[in-house]
Amino acid sequence: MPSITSSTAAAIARARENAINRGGDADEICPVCKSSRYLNPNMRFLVNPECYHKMCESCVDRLFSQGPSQCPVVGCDKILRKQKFRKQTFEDIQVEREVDVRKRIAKTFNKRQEDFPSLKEFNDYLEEVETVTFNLLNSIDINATEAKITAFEQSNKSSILQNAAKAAQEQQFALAQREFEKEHHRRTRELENEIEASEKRERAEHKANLLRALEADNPDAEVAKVNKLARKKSSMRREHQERRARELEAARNAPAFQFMSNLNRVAEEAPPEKYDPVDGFDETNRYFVYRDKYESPWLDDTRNNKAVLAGGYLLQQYYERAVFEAFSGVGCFIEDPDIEGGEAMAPLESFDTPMIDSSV
Amino acid sequence: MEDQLYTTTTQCKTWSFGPTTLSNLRSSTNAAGVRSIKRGWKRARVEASSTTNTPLATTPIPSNNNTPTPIPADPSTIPDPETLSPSEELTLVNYYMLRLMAMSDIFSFPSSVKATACVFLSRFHLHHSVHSYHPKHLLTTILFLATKTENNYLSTAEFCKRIPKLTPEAVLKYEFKVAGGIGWDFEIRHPLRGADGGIMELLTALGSNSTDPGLQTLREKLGPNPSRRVTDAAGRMKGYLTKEALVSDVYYHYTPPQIFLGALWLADKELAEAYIEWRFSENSTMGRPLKKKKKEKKGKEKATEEETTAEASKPPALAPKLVPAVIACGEMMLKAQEYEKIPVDVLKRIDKKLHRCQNPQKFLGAGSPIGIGNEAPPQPKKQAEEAAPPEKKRKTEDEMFGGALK
Amino acid sequence: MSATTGPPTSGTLSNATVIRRTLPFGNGNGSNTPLSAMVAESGDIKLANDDSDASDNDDPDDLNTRTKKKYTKDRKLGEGAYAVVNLGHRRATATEPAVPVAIKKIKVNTEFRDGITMDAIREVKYLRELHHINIIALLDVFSSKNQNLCLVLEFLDSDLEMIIRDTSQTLSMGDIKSWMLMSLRGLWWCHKSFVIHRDIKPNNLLLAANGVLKLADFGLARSFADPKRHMTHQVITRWYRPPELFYGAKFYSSSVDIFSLGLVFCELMLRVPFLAGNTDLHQLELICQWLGTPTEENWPGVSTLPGYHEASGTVVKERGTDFFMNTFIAAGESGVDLLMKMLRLDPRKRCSAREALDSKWFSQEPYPTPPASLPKKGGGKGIEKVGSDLKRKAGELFNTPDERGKKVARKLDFGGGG
Repeated sequence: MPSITSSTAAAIARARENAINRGGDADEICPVCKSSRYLNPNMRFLVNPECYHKMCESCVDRLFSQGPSQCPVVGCDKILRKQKFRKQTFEDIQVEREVDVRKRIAKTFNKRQEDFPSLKEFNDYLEEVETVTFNLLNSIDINATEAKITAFEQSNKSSILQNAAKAAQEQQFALAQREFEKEHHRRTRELENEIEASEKRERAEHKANLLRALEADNPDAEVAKVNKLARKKSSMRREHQERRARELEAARNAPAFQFMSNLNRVAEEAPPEKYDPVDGFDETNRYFVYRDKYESPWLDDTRNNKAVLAGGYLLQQYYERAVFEAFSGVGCFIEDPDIEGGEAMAPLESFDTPMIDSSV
Repeated sequence: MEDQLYTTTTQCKTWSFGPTTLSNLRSSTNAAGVRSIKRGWKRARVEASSTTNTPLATTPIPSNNNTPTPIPADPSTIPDPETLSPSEELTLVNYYMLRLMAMSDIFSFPSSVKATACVFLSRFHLHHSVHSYHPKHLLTTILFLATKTENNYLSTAEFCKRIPKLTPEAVLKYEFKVAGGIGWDFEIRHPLRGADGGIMELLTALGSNSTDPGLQTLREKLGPNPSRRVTDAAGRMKGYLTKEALVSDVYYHYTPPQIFLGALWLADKELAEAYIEWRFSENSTMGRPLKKKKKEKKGKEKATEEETTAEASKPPALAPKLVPAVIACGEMMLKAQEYEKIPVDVLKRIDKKLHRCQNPQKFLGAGSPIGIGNEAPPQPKKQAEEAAPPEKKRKTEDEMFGGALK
Repeated sequence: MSATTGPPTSGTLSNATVIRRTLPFGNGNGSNTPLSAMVAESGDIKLANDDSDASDNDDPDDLNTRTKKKYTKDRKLGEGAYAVVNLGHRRATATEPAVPVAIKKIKVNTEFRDGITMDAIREVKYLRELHHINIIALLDVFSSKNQNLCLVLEFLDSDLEMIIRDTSQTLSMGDIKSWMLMSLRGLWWCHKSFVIHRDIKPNNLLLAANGVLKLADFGLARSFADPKRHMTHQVITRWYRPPELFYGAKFYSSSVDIFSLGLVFCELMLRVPFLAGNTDLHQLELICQWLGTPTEENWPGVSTLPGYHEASGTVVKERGTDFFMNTFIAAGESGVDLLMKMLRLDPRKRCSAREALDSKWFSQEPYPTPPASLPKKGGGKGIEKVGSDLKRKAGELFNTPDERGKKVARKLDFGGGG
């Protein structure tokens, strides 16, 4: 949203100016306990976005550690919570507040240009948003403005959420893009370094070869041979490196989704072996099959009780459980250990370590 | 798959034994209990002889029981008390289990709470001799714990209202001991729900117009009104499951479906045998609807499941092995009825013996009670339960007499 | 597993399972040989020396002490009103190296005067039975001095909430699919074992160092209620609670977990909680707004629920494919289809965990990322966070009331960048 971004930028600039003009706050005094930064250079000031009254950290600790309490500034009746106190981001408290308000507004009024049929309507909307923001900032018609915001929220529920989702996706996308750019730069740099290094190496090698050739019986022929070899080698190398540079560049210009998928750590893109919903568990019931309905007079009233059914209670689940339990273990026979058989007895731990295995 | 899942339960993994293993376990627990009694008496004897001249020894201990007033002329001549045998222990535990059931009925708790409480009691005493842990002190604790594990929670305050003279402290005092004593295995697989499922399924099959030959045979065996017969038997079966099954050892030796069938066998032998024949014989259809029909009516999951495996897995013919197991299980439950008929004086005699075992001080004039639940100072081993000061006190005492032991 | 599956005992019984159990835990004779082994060898019990103190084995403390001694406590990971979580190690034995574990010590609750708390009972009860790769493993239980209950749990690095909140990471659809798949498998196993979790939310979905996701915190779990037995509707953290519970339903089913997991699915895509109400009422309003207003038409019988009240404001039709496709386009058609089935208003219309696993979404590209390649949240910080999650009381969203504000503030940040 251009208007908001620019005004935020302006606010930041203004804040910087303020700070410069005042040349630091060596003698800043906590309005609550009156201790000054001059005496305590580590003093930190905090504000609470309820009322933005500034106070020092130790005051916050002292006043709000026991739970929410009223703001100590005379005439301020806001109830503050310690959790909400934070460091001021901007020098100017007004700016701090403005940024908060704008954040809040931006969350609700998150329409985009593509949501409007024309640029004019979009601008009108932005104008409107700016008015609302201005009113909030300057406490003009607070009640009416709040009502307006609520009304907007009500009537744009789904688009607000959708735009929020879109924004989140874009943010992710941008993040991914940044990551990709970084990676691209790194690789380009690597390639450049590599080229430089290999050129240097080649030159040194060539020189050594030449010297060796000059010592040979017929230096001219040897020198020609060495030169030819060096030319061939360097052109091969250059070709290879140029190809890599081209690939890098191509990857950079590839459609966005491609680099997104490159980024995903899924090197194992190969489809995994056939998908098994239950990961190898054998679901076969050996002794029975479930039916949809069972003869059970005592459950008839439950079956027909609307309130029970509306809550989501599934009589079927009871059937399944009861029938399952009628057979679960019917084929297990408990016997004494076969002592004579000399069967190796695994020593048993006091408590069995639970077996962490889905296949059982 | 059904069997496989059962083998993952703690009930199967830690609480299922063959008869020999179980009786070995009971003997070893009994032996440990006896040892602790003997140790207690030995200690008491040493204590008595070393304190002969103190007033404590010469003053006869007031006895509120009918025990003979001890005149410990020479403590060392008094023999060790007669201890309980493993079977006497079991008799006592089972007697208290019946008491526990009655207590549960006072609250009209659902049968799951009652059954769970009984299994807790039985499992606890599998590893803890009554010599050290008299069941009478544990009943309320166990019942209360069972209400919590079976999602039937009520506050101790409410719990105590229903039983005269019961305090929350008394209920909770041994809770950790009990919970740890049953290995923190709170989930008990009862046969009750399965029994309901089995009967439900049987009735449904009988009511259907299936042409399964096995089912036809079953129908013929059951006489003119098969459903009626099943319903009647089911009523009696439930009685066995909520009483005899708990008092006997079937929970250790058989799986819940086997117990359910055992109870069904007790209720109606012919019915149970015919049912097993139908469901678990070589050519059984396992209650599967015959192939051609109904398949599409099933839930997706089950339909596909069946298609893929219909040919592959021929149902196991369990009947030859299952029938004897079920009969043995049924008979074991039947035998448990004897516990109800045990004459009161037999129980009294056991309890008296136990009382003598646990209270050497009454007979030797020194020492301290053995086992939990006595009002006397706590046993050194049970310190964790108690507040710090008595614990320290015991320790010094221990050192004092511990030296003499060695 | 220790149940010995014996060889078939007779030719005709190839399918019977024979279980030959020896004693589960010996009465500890102070020696390292399990009693069971001795019984098996000699058929009777070797009695320990009568006078030795070690032979006082008729005492659960003994077993307890032995269990306790298996572990060391390293350092505290976090402390809350409900429990203290320590990082610990299982001491190395002859055969196994030391393994890190989380020891969750449940505090004696001063408000709860009824002994071991229900949370602890439930957690122990269910975790001792549920063994699945996607469910946290309870390794041991013991009681410490002062009657504190200690649960020894598998140690897990981080949780899904940390991943969701860490916006410096991009989550691919393959990653999301993988987490959903593992969550659904864990949930399927619970439901297959007839247990409802009742507190599914991102910070109860823990992640092991190898990327495997595991369901944790069974403090609110219970097994399926038998017919006619009531269940409490005061379960599941608000943001993930399904509408039937807001209407006070006393009879519900495993479908409550499916709804919660559906909202986790949304959250994985949006990176913020999809429906984050400030109060129960507000939460219900949000459900009505975003998923649709429950009516007799889309949810027969809803008005008979005890806490039902007609929604204020406009009636929103139950959202169809268009809405979901617009909002969660990234999931693709089959993903959106699955999501819709999980978030149906009428609990009976929601899919089961098993049906969800059959969704085409899981077998289509992009394939679920293999656990080991999933994004991770690094080291130390992770440990602390999971510590604080484990100790949080079930159903509670924040450790302190103030923390709620912090999370909402985080939500405000979102979208505020523009």
